[in-house]
This record gives sequence, structure tokens and C-alpha cells, in this order.
Amino acid sequence: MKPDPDPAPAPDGRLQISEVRYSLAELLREIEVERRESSFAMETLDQVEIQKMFANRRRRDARNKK
Amino acid sequence: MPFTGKILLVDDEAHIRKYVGLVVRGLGAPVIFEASSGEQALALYAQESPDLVLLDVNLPGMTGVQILSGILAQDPDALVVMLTSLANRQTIEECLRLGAASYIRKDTPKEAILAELSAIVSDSPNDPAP
Repeated sequence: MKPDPDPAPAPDGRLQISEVRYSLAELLREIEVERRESSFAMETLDQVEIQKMFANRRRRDARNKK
Repeated sequence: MPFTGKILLVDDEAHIRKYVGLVVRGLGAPVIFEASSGEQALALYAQESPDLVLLDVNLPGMTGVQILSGILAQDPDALVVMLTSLANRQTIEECLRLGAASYIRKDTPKEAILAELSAIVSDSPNDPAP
């Protein structure tokens, strides 16, 4: 991620707001790595949470079949 | 409605297969086949076309996730429920993505296992119960 350089102070001493651009592809890649390799991936889920994930998928599948 | 279909239990530990076998008999009067490895599971699936597969994740040799892929490659409509003590997000999401019907932790009370299996079997278009 390469945000613009530090904003220069305006002549009156206040910081000027500068534009920060993020690359969506880069963000998605970072999320993917995070999901695969971090403690997030190793997080242990309880049965209620697991069932919710599968129930959501079943609902989505049922909607798609209609 | 009692479930009278065929169930394939895949677990390398005989006492777990016995326990799960006792639990699933609560569904009705299913015919139960048992496999202790991935190779056996895939061969039995091809031979018996079970209506429901209960599959452990942590197996020696082929993993449960590989077996899940193998079964769904044989039969994309297969009803496969992961029944395992491994409950990390990565494995669960992978099974979900591959097409497992559900994922049940082994430490779930047997009444809750039965309730989840009953719901899955009755939702399934393959439900052999009349």
C-alpha cells in the first residue's frame, strides 16, 4: 500500500487533508493471506457459529434454485 | 419420519465409529457401512452409493478434506457431513467451499448431532424416506 506522502502543513499550521488511494486487488490479496496464515485461520469455532455458516450457505443455495 | 437410507461412517478410530453408529441409529433404521481410511471410503462410496456420509477430517493418509473432494467428484449431489474434533476456521471454510452439507464437532452433545443430521437428511432431495 502506498499512501501519498505525509501531508504538508498548510500555511496556517493546520494539516491539509490529502487523498489516500488503496488498491482493491492488493487489499484482497492481503485479506487472503491473513485468512490463510494468521491466527484468524486457526481460530476455533464453536458449533453454533459453524452451523450458522452452513445454514447461510443452504439458504443461499435454496434461493439460487428458485 | 425415520431415515432408512444408507450411511457411510469414515473414521480411523473404531470406538468413534461405534459411538457415531449408535448415535445415527437414532435417525431410524439406517444401513451403516464403515471405513477407516480414505481409500476404503471412496471404494465403499462407489460400491454402495450411501445417502449420507459422516466423515472425519483428521485421518492418516488421505485427509477428510481430500476424501470430501473425491466423493463430490464421484457424485456432486453427495450428502457429506464432516464430523470431527478439528474445528479451525480454515478447515471449516474449506469444507464449506468444497460442498460439505454440514460440519459437526465431535464434542457436540449426541442429541444436537442427531438434530442436525435429521435436519440435513429431511432437507435433502435424496432423502430415501417415503
